[in-house]
Amino acid sequence: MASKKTAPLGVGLDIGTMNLVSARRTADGTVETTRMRDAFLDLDARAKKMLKLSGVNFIDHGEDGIIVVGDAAMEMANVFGREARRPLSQGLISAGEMDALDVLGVLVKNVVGEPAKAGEVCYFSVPAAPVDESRDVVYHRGVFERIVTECGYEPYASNEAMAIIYAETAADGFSGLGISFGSGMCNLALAVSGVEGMVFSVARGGDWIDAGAARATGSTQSRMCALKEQGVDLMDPKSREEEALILYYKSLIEYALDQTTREFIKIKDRFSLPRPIPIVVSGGTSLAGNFLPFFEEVFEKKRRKFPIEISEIRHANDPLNAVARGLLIQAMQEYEGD
Amino acid sequence: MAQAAAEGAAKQAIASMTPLMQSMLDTMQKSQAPAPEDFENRIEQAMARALGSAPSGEGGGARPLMGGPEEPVFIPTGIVKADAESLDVQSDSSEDEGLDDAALALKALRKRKKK
Repeated sequence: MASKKTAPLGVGLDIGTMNLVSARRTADGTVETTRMRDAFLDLDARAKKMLKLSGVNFIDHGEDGIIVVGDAAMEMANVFGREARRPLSQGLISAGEMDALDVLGVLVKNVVGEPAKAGEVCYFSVPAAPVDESRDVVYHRGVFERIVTECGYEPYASNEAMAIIYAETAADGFSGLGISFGSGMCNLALAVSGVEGMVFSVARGGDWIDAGAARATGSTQSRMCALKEQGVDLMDPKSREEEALILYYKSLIEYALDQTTREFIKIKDRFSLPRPIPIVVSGGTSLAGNFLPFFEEVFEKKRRKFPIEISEIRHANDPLNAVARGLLIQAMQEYEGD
Repeated sequence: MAQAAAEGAAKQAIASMTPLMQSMLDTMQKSQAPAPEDFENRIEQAMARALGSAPSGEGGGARPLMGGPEEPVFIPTGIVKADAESLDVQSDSSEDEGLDDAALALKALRKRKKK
């Protein structure tokens, strides 16, 4: 009798301000990624009947109302003329969102699913502390360790940008500068031969672009976000609003590169780079049209004074899932030799 | 709520300080001695001690302590409910695309480092 193939153990979980993404191997050798929008919307209990008919995900709190979660929360927010609430703010658990923990528990449980066996290893992403804001990640990491444990897994926290290094630079000996352009923040990691030399984050991301462009044009942040998601070509703006978006994209990239220079100067005496390394860009904010040539254009103006010798600049193979895949690679290591 | 807590703490500190200050004033009046030079400092220090021992207005077990890495941080339990709702999620399957190769390369790299 042929033995049934079982899926290899290990899960990667990318916890982002805009999306939660998990990655795991399947029995047939493919990689399954599961995504949910990291958003929720509280509605009156009277909306329950309507939502049941439409098949929308919601959490029933009886007379206290219902909470719509995931992508539906964004859609319903538009329907009701409201803003969806986010459990995370600028990459970290939002201290002001009292319902955040309950919602995060439900979202994570559904994104990672049941463990293949009790205590299956789950590597989850944690941002580095931002260099431009006084926030630490201790509480954030502790909460997600607890959530992942309560989902039945053995949790391991791992830096978000280092996950990009593991996913995208195997051919470079796991050496490179990984940049995750997220919604709430950007995470950066410099590594040589898999050794982390520098990790940090900046408290600016896609949301910051939307807010800035909205202020510049008298529009709304939601409209800017919708414009981006409809598809903006960074090399060919077609409206005043797109020009404003591009201005803030440029500012964000310049800011990230300038902070990289500042942070590298602090460590350069004790961390040598034996050869040029690639820059790998990833994250939802990097999905804008022509992001890569745009990034290269901005970088070229800074290359002469950039303290790190760069061999090439490339996009992650799968920018939305690269972090989850890198975390999965690390989780798989826990079972090597099993 | 925070302001009410601060006011409550201040009132309690004053209440605990009043007998001490009255005693000091009585002593000074009886001896007709001038106030000590560091009188104000002593009052400030005593107030700081009194405020430090006053309870805060909100339950200490409900909120985390936002401190640095060396300070204890309260993480609540029972965040994930056993009967948490099952939701429709978006799942995609894709080919390996080098994931196995990357995992093997990382394993080899770590083995080399151990030697």
